[in-house]
Amino acid sequence: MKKIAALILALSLLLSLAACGAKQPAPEETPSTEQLQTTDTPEDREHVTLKFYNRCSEQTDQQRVFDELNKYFEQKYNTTIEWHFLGGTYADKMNVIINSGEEFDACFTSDWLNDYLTAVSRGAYLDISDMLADYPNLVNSMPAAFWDAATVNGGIYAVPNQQIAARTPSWYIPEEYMDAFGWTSEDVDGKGLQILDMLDYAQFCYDNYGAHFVGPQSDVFHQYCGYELLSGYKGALAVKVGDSSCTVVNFYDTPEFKQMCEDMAVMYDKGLVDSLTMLDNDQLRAEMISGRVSTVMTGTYKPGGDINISNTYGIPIHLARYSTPLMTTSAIIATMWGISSTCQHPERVLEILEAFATDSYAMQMISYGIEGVHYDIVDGFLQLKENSGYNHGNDWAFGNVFLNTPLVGMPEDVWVQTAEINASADVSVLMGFSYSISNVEAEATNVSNTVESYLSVTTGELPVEDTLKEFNEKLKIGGIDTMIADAQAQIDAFLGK
Amino acid sequence: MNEASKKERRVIGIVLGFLCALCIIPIIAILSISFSSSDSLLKEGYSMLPRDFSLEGYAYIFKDLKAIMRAYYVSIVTTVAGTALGLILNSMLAFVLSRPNYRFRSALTIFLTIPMVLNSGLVPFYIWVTRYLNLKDTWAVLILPTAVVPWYIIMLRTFFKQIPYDLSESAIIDGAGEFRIYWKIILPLSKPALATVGMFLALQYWNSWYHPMLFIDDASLINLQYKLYRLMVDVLELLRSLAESGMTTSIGDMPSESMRMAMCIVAAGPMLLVFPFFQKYFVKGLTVGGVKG
Repeated sequence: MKKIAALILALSLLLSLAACGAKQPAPEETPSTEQLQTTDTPEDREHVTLKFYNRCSEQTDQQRVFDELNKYFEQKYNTTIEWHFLGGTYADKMNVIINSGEEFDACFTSDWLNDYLTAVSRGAYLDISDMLADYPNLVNSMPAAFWDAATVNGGIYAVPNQQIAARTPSWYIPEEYMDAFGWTSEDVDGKGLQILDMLDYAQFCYDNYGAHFVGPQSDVFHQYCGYELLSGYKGALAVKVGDSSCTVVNFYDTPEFKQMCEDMAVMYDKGLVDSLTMLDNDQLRAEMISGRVSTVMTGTYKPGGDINISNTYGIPIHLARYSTPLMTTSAIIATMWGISSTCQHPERVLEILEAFATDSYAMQMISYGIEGVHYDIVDGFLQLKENSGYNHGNDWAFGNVFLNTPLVGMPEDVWVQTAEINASADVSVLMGFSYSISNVEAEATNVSNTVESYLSVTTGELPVEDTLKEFNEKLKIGGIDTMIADAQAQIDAFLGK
Repeated sequence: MNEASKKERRVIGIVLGFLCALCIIPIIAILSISFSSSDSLLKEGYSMLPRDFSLEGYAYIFKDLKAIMRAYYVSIVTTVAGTALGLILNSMLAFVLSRPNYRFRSALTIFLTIPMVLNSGLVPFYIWVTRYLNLKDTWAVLILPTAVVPWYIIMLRTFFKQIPYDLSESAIIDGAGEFRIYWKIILPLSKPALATVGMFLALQYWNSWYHPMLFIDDASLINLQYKLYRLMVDVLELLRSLAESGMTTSIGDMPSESMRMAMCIVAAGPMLLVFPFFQKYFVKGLTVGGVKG
């Protein structure tokens, strides 16, 4: 047996050597930059290389950006970063890396990808709450609510990236139809337009353009109805916005949800709703592109967001903000950096994260690349170059997006506006509370399956009263009451501390 | 030829033709979709012939030609090296097991059978490969973990056993050592079995993306399937992050459907070309393990 093992090893070594020798991959950039720089670095500190994992997809020209950024960090902190952009494989890879205890320094973490609470409960991240005192610039770079949101059981295990954290959806209205109907942005922005307020407009669009009304999408039902969800729409648990007693309810059993369904039924009876488009994302995309949607409510309103959405769908679209935005825990922890518990130099990592939160040079470079190579500054706006090889579109995954120069087409004061929205937003009564599903995992699976199969009630096609009754009975059988009791206990414990 | 057999032939022809169509139509559809623009796909749906000829799916994949070529190179090297190494290792093990005078035959068989039914699980495997063997980001990790496959060993052993032992015996009398018997007598007589196992190994290496996903971070060691997989999940991930995080990502046009189909063609193409060469042996090889006169 030993002989065989030895043979396998020997052969493999030979082979791998042969394969390597066949053609050494040419490094994409000159590797000498690092050596050049070491001469003028702060000599009193040890040089460290940090390993950062991010969810961005791999960029063809990324090495150039990393080298340039490392030059800067090396001069400033005597630190270099080894970046890993994992893109769509991020969730799978981080799962293995974290579970196997592999050494790394920092990684992207959130409530929707590489789940923050799960990782914290596995001890994957360091508690940095005591260390933060040494980084006042980092702490003060964002509102205190951000740090509250990242707090779990009294410890802070991640550094939030500052971005729009106050959420409200918007009605997506094609500008062409809006103008034809005679609406201006004053008529629709922030007016809290309900489904039935859209009736005349939807009828007009259907008659003239054959465009269907789509209504609120599943990701924003709760916002439309004025609730805050504890764990996504499939979780069904919600607390009414502004309810200071924080009573947990079954969202699908609330009068507001029922009203929404009934209103949709009115639209449906007039023949304005296409239920397939309402439930199928791909279909919605197709219909949007071809202008067959009069309006849909979804997304997160952002100043300058019109540009992104119009680009995505290829037609000019106006985003009509629905109501006053609400700042919630999940909106903040949607993008953070966790520092690994296997990290040897957490103080050096925090230094780098402080740079991404306060230093526009570093932040802009990792967000958009090198000026003149990947983008140009035109009249104070950032113009991306086509096919530059560095355009991941995920500036929010790295740090404080307010540091970046606004993109061409955005309002000049986009970050001022965004910061205003963050500052003026209602703050959730549950700020800082993070719901843990671990006690009721079986029930949660039942409930989320039930929700998924009954979502079609929101198209108005089915008889609302009967379907909702059946829906909620199924949720009860699935154990929604156990979940509510468990969530309520967690919230009471949170509030009582 | 009489009437009945003509009729029979016609029936057989129709049935086989129908089965052929079932196999070929999806490939034609994939080709057609891969040459359509995503606009026409979204607006008009799929069709057997592309409504408008567009290369945008391929353009998206080959945007980064250097990386794709590199990925092809990695795939070809691992497939060739892996198949060669796999054939040698598997057939050596099978040869030993096929010899009636090998003392640890049953023990070794049991040892080889265990991993067919049980495996260690992902995390221990990952820790073993990355921390103890230190194989992360190496060529070896693309080749070694799947080089020895118990199932192939058993197939080869069965085949080797059918070669009369007298042949080996007479070779021993003529003064041949074990290695010479293996190399000069058994292997040349087992070409169909080797071709079959070789085919399986080649397919396995060509199609592998999971091990690269786990163990490869270095862009120069990414193989074709993993590269394509990443291209696809990156697009899906973008869409998902739009939906789930509430974050907006500035993306221009993304040919998703036509790109996916173009990807199938790019990934499967070389194998479709290679397959006919193996076919001669492949048919014979399918009966490996069957009764022989």
